[in-house]
Amino acid sequence: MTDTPERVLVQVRDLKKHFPIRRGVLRRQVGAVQAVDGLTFDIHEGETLGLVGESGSGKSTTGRALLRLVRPTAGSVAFDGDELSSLGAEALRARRREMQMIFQDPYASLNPRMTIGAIVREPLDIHEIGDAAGRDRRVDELLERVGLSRAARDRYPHEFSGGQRQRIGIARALSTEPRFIVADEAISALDVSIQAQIVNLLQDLADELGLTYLFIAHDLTMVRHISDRVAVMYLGRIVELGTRDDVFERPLHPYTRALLDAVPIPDPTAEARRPPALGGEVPSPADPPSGCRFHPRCPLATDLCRTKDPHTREAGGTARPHRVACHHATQPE
Amino acid sequence: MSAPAESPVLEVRGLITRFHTDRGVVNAVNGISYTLAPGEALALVGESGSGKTVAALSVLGLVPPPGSVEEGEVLLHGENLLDLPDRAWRDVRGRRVAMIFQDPLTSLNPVLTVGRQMTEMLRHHLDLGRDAAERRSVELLERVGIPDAARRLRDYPHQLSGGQRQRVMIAMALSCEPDVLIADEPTTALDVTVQAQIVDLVKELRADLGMAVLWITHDLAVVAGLVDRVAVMYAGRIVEIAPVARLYASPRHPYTRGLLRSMPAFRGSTGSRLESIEGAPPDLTLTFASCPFAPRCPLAEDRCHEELPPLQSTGAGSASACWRWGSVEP
Ligand SMILES: Nc1ncnc2c1ncn2[C@@H]1O[C@H](COP(=O)(O)OP(=O)(O)OP(=O)(O)O)[C@@H](O)[C@H]1O
Ligand SMILES: Nc1ncnc2c1ncn2[C@@H]1O[C@H](COP(=O)(O)OP(=O)(O)OP(=O)(O)O)[C@@H](O)[C@H]1O
Ligand code: SF4
Ligand SMILES: [Mg+2]
Ligand SMILES: [Mg+2]
Repeated sequence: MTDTPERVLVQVRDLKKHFPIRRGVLRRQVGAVQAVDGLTFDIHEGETLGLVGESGSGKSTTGRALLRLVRPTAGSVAFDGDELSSLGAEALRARRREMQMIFQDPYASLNPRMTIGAIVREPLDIHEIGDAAGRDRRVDELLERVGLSRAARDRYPHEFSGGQRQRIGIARALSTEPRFIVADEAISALDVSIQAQIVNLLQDLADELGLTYLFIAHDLTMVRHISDRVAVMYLGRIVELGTRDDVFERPLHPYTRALLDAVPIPDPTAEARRPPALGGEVPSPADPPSGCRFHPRCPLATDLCRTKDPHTREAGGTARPHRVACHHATQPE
Repeated sequence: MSAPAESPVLEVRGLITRFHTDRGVVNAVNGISYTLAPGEALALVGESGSGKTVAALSVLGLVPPPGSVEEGEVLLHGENLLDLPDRAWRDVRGRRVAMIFQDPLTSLNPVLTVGRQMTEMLRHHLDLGRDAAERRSVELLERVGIPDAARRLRDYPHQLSGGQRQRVMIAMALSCEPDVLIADEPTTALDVTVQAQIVDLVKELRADLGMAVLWITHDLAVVAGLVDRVAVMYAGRIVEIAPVARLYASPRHPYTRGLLRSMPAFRGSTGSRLESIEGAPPDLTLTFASCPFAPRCPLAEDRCHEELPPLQSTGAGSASACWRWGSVEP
């Protein structure tokens, strides 16, 4: 993996997405939620990049902006060398086949009036992939791969449990044989045993087809398990990015360390000794703190942090660069 | 913790819930029983489709057609809720038994602001004035860690992130200080720091108000520090129930053991394949005369394929529905 030359599949430069806040009858804009505020990173072909961070930090918005499901406020996203904002509708549609999303909310993302078969088949119809018999076969095969029976085809979403619906979403995302998948909390609604099956499936597909993933999750154990590299978001920014081992074993940013400390341990006696949850209030993305956005909650904060926004800098890294945006980040002893 | 003498807040007895679909009868819940003492927390875990949500909806009389509760009792302070007329239900739901739904669309109306939904609920159940209801809403949102709570009240559900929406539902469920909280996968969209915050909040309410909790989840790690006991569901049945420490240390059902082993332990497991329980969950249109787990069970012997194991005591407040519970390794 590390000795083959690396091809950048998704290149993100200074990406921003701000949502306007409007007030009054005239819907005048009075501010903006800075959901994503200046992200720069690459995703290499065949790699799985994990994206973690607190609720509301902008992970879903990032995923949606990469696939152009929302229009970025600024910045660029290039997929396999094509700048997405410069593509016409037709070219974008063709590209869409190669980029799919598994949505966070399995309830809202499935059309309640379509059968499961039709839902999984729809992308094949839209992109005119295969003939009718071929599409039917593919639907059966996909359902089987995600662990649903063929009988599920003729049923409707409301007849399925939460985890079953999530797998329907996964089958749909896989149908067009995409090259890049944004998996937004794709497995968090699943029980551990099926999580394991789905994670194994995603990894098998990566091995067989060279799939590339942006794997958004709050479950750090799964992110650690599946990712090659990991990016940590805080309030619209990436504060740390590095290989899985660098980020998990040698975390640099105080926020990353707090996140790792809060990981629940599946043992009730250890649980009693868990350090307290990260204190302090989560600031509003409509009015982010001055200087380093993490400073009000940071144990290392100094005056410098309160006034100056830290640049992202390279801080070593074993196999790949390890980047961090913190004035005081140091290696733990 | 739960002293045996204390009379339970909630007692569920022999609950059976089925869906009569045109493809046959789906036996979603097949005779489950449990009790909750005041302030006690019970986790309900089990694989996807095992009937956890339907079991919870059954308690609140919310099973959608073509499903219905066909047998059993749900006793809230000794009163059978399943006998209540529709009108009386409205005072039970939300006020005395509150539920955090797995499906956010069930509880949040997309065309009303978050503030409107919260204040209306508070005004209805607690008889608060508009200002008081609004103040209380802000306070609740702050307690579940939503920044900028006053502004958030003016937002519509689609303007919130997944985790923020989930926390609004948690705040609404807790707002009326219910006797029993049923939480269906309440923290799936939440990162660990917020999860820890919510778990702490629920613990506090248990201690302060004696609120009893039924916490449905697939995440055994999250509940470790929260609950007193764990009930494991498989194919619509409780197959093991035990105090949390005992269940983790020495599971007495091969299915529980499989669930524990498919968690990636936090340290160590990277890259390698995760262990999963082989085989598919059973078809719930079947009825079982033998152990439903037998086709996937590494310990299965002839008897397992012939006779249905009852839930039987394994000592120390624990029970297992496995013929071979004595042979299950930790
Ligand atoms: N409206 C319905 N019609 C027919 N079958 C249904 C209906 N609702 C649920 N079921 C079935 O009942 C079974 C139990 O579903 P339930 O939602 O309780 O599972 P669960 O344990 O909550 O799973 P998950 O962890 O995935 O949420 C499933 O097999 C499901 O397909
Ligand atoms: N359509 C929208 N209108 C206004 N604000 C929005 C909209 N979508 C998202 N936001 C805001 O942008 C911020 C980031 O949201 P996003 O959904 O990206 O977070 P997230 O990291 O995915 O969180 P979670 O882990 O809870 O899913 C949040 O404060 C959210 O309220
Ligand atoms: S009764 Fe038999 S088949 Fe069922 S779980 Fe126990 S050993 Fe396995
Ligand atoms: Mg999200
Ligand atoms: Mg459920």
